Amino acid sequence: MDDFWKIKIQELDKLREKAARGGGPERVEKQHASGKLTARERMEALFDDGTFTEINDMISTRASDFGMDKKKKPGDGVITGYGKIHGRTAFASSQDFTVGGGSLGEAHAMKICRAMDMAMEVGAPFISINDSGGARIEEGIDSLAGYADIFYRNTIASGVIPQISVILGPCAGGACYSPAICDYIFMTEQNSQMYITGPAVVKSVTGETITAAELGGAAVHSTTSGVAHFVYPDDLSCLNGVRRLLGYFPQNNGDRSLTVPGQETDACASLADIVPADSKHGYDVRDVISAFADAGSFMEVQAGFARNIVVGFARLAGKTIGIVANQSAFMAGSLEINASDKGARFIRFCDCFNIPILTLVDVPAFLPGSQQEHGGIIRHGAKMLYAYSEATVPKVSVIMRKAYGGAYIAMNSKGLGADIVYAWPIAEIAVMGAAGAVAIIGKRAIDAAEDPAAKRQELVDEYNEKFMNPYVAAERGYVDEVIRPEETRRKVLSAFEMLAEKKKSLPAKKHGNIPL
Amino acid sequence: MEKEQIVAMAVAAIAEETQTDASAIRVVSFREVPKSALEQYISDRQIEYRKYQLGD
Repeated sequence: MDDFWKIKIQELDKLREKAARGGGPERVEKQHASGKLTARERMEALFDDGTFTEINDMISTRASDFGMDKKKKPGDGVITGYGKIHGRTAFASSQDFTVGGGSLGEAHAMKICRAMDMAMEVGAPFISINDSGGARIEEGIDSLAGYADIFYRNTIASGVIPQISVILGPCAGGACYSPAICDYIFMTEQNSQMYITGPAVVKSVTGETITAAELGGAAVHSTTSGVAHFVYPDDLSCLNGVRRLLGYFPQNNGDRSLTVPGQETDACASLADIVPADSKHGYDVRDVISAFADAGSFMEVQAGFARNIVVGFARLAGKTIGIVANQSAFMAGSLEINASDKGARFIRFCDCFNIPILTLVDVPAFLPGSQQEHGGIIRHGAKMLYAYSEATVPKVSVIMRKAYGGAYIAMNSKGLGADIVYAWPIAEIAVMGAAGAVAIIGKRAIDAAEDPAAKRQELVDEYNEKFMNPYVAAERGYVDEVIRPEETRRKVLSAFEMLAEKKKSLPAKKHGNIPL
Repeated sequence: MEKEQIVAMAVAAIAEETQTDASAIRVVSFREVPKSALEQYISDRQIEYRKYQLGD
């Protein structure tokens, strides 16, 4: 190697080192002191060891107003690139809070967009790690245009590649809309915040005094707003969560999920002990899932939000399935506005990415009341019906206990396109429960009876005998088979194996018009 | 652990894996790979961490 080579290589090394330094040791120390990893450390934790390759590490801003020409840093406050996760290619961006607070300018946005474009072209998931103060004010409209470019790509990529947003610091203003369009949002307990307007603006506009955590912290978004899907204590556990979630997904909408050798479980014999025959008694439906899915394979989504419905991914004989289940232990598993939104979005994700859906039914009703009606339960509940109806992936239902009225229809009933519907012998499939039904259809007979209480009981018994079982539905073909609970895993597995090559297409259209 | 010990252990492991005589293995070069930033962070803070692997 001659001297000219040496000089040029030294020059390259210096530039690389400068780019890798981020905001410098002091800011890195500050980042660590607040319990956060740096942008590069996050990439290292996200990808398989030694697989991350950075792209465009020397891009920097071309802005010069407000002294930007003196503040420019290679990389422009975001790291982008690709690597492997479980041996499969994925792309990611990671905002560097140590460089200009991770603020987004023109070049910063361009880097993210390039990585997204490549992810789309290659057909690989895109993970966006957010830790940014927001738009770079010095770059004016170019910052806003940068956000728009990202939102547009998020939208076009939706349903084509899985998109995950990881919020590991502030995410404020318009920046929130990129995560919002993505499929899943991860947050950490202490350091993540998402809000359209921060506490100071809220105070000045509405007079309300509220902290950043109260306004848009992980606790709020994982329980009240439903914005966040997963919450972890810190960066490392959060990025491990992302790795785990991606293990359930295919690379893109033309791909299928990996089959993972796992520990098979068949504890179905315990199902009759988990689910009480008396439909007035509750139970945790997650115990039901654990009894038949592969051991430890269930990953619940939005566990703290709309707890009356449980959704998540699990594996059966190593293959990914999506599970939608009424949670008897919370609000008796009734469907309401938030549960409908949560369920419908999950169903649509599964349908986008060829993930078969298993529905576990134990639903008394759509929740009654003016709060629900005025909040638009008609509009929101319709999303569940719409999502199930348009889903063309294999759809299997198990009616475990109650299946009443419109809520029965909404929970992947035969009429909405369920491929196979199983029911347990204790299933009650009817327009409504016996007491309510008799109060309506038996009112005259009860009023005219010498002993109204005895007459009511007689009618309730008659109703129970005639309707509160799975056999009427089975006679009419709305239930394909009444099964013992201990047969559940075997039957469901067999149904999904049979449906593995299912091909169903919908009429040609630009897109449907789901009630939003 | 001294560098010499690390090299000796590596040679022994290679010999066992390839079923060859350790004396027939010649070390051409040895370079200590520095800890990555993340490894250093974890090590400095004595954090219990294992990267999630499919099947865990």
